[in-house]
Amino acid sequence: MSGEFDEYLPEFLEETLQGISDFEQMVIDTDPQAGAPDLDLVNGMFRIAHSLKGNALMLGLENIGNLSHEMESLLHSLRDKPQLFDSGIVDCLLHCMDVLRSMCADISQGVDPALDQPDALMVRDELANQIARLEGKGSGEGAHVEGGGKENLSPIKNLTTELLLSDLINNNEAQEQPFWRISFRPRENARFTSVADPLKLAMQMSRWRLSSVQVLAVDQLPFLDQMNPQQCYLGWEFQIIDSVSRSDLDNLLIPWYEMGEISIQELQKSPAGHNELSGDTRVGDINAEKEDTTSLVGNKALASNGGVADSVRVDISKIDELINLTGEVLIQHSMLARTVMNLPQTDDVDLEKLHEQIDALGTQMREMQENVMFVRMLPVRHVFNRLPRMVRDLSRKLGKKVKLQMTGQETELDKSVLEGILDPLIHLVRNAIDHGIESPQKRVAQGKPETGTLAVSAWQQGGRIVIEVCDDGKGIEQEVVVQRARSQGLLVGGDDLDAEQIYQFLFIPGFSTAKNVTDVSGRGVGLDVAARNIRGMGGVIDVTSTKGRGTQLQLKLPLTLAVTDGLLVRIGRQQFVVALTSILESVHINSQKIQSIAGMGRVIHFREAYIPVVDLRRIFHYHDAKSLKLDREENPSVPHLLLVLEAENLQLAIPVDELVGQQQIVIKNMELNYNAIPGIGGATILSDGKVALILDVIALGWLFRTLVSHRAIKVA
Amino acid sequence: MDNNCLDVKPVQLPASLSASSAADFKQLLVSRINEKGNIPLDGGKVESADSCGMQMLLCFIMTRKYQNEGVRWVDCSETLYHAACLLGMRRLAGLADSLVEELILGMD
Repeated sequence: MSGEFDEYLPEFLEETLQGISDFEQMVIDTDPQAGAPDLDLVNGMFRIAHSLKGNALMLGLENIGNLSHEMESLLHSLRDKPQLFDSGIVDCLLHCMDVLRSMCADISQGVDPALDQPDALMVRDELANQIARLEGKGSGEGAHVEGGGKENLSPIKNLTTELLLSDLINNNEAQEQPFWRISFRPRENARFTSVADPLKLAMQMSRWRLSSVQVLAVDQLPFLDQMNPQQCYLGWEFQIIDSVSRSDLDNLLIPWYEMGEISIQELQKSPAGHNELSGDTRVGDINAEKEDTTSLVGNKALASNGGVADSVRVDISKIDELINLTGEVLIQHSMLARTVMNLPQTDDVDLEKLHEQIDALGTQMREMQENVMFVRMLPVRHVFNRLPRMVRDLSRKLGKKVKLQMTGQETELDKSVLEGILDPLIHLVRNAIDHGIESPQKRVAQGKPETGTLAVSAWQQGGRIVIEVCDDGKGIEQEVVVQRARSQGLLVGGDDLDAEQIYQFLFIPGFSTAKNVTDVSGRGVGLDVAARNIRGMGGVIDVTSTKGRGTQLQLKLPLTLAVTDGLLVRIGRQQFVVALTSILESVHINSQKIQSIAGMGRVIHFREAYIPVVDLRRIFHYHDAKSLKLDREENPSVPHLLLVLEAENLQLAIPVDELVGQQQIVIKNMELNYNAIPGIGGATILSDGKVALILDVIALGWLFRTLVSHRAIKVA
Repeated sequence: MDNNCLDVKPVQLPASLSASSAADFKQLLVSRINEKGNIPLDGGKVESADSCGMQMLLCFIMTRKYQNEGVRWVDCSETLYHAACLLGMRRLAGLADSLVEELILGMD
């Protein structure tokens, strides 16, 4: 690895992975069956490949640079011979994306990605063959370039480099009129830093076609011996041919306002951007050279230009730190409120006013916390974007035809939840294609369209987000599930199981109804992992299915994992927090009403159902002499306070000594601060400074379900 | 082709033209700034560059021009050529319109 440029790597990786994702989408959007590809798509791919190459080479990552360079060559040839576009080129370009992703993974782990790995060699062969085919030079078998670096590029590839650079910067001068002229003049005494490097701006600009790049203020350069190397003396002017929108320009330029003055001129009306301009910034006549000189430094940039989108790139760790700090402040507030509550009334202090002010402060701080939480929210499209490629590859592999429909991509949820749903969603989608959607022949025989539909949607529902994976395949055959559950010893009897109970078997580790084990699915690994991950985040999976018509899986997840409204309860000397969303009600029940049922342990008969009583002291193995005794012989007359909870359609009752109060709590991770404890979802610090454990009700329910409930089914 | 510089040892541009090595780079260039004729520049080993390094290189070339002296390229890496194009310095730096041309012209 280069070492010197390590600080740039996170940003490089982020941009590259986004570029790969965008490129992949463009490749998938082309349709080889429809003949020549849309040239806008080819140009778009070309620009991404060019940016990847430029960014990589600037950081000394020659292998990524060289592979991107070869992709450029292919796309350049394709622009000349679009009629030769076929699925082979699509496969080749997608393969390139796989290799680039793998190289990014290497870089993120501090490994220099190698171009001599089998996959990289293979893809370079594919590229060479496709280029040779497009250029009418036979198969080009074995034409891949050994090693890396420009010295290894063939003359043809160097020629391509020439064409590409001239295409981007030189030749366009005479051919196309630019839409935008951007000039950037660093302020006096501006210094180069790792962030403030105009070459980065130039690289970012080069994602669009440039008619010219001009260096300004050359006469400001001192003589070499008088030069301060770190000071920026020069300015730059870029002319952009692409009709990009003003907001896209602004988004790119915002970080650079801090370094100097930026002037944006619209040289001709931009179809992509004119609607976004407002008021004085709107340009009327085509070719009217109306300067929108923003002359902006820092925040003035945003204030004086109504069309500017206000966004900055912030390291996620800084946001996490801010969230954590906000949580700590809230805890301090609670502690302060408690102290004030205990203050004796004196003539010197107006306690009532003090309470009012502390309440107001608390309201504002909670509002601040909510706003900070929103900063972490990201659109679910970051995960959905992975699906088109996967669906394409998998359906081809399985010989199926699948149309993917995605809706609600802009629905936002917390970054950590977003990261957590990626694997489960992939499992569910794979499962839907492998087990759900039938082969074209079967579908036609059943009177269905040859192409199956897989709909993936997201929407917000109250404080939760719902992600739905819905297919129009064969549906879940309940009798097959029951039969398999019996054969695996998971079910004895069970003739009266309802659909919901039957579908629960699908989430048991090792359970599969697939007749054949493939590398796609069939080992029963996948759905259980998906379910476990979802439950781990406090979510649930609901299944509905109609035989012959399809299956619908809904993931219901919390919007955030950092804050929750909870009820503080005391059990002995230990305090626990229970999420309000899990609580059905609290009841007082006499000891006599707590019964024992074989296979289920202690239960209460409550609202026409038997609900298991789960004693947390036993589950967590702690003993407290002062805690309430459940045993009716020991304490028959005292009514027990039970909290009835619901977890994934299973109800549980936990005996508690006291309901202390409801409050919003900041969740602290147990694994990071201590160890993972089954049944405990985290911890929080209370206003008296003590730590309370947060119950993971779903995990408790799952524990109970797996340990007791299945035994009950067998007994039944 | 400038014959009077054929025997002159080229200025070997370092692998990294960046802010972190700017002081050394400046020292290298300052040591050659007053030489007569067209100083040969060898940028074939440049693997990475930033604006700071490129500005320094341009400053060297412009100072030479002011002194009525010049530079000529004997080699230019793709990275260096790319950076010069992106920063609009290619013509000022005396690099050819294309890398191929540059490589051909640069061969002594």
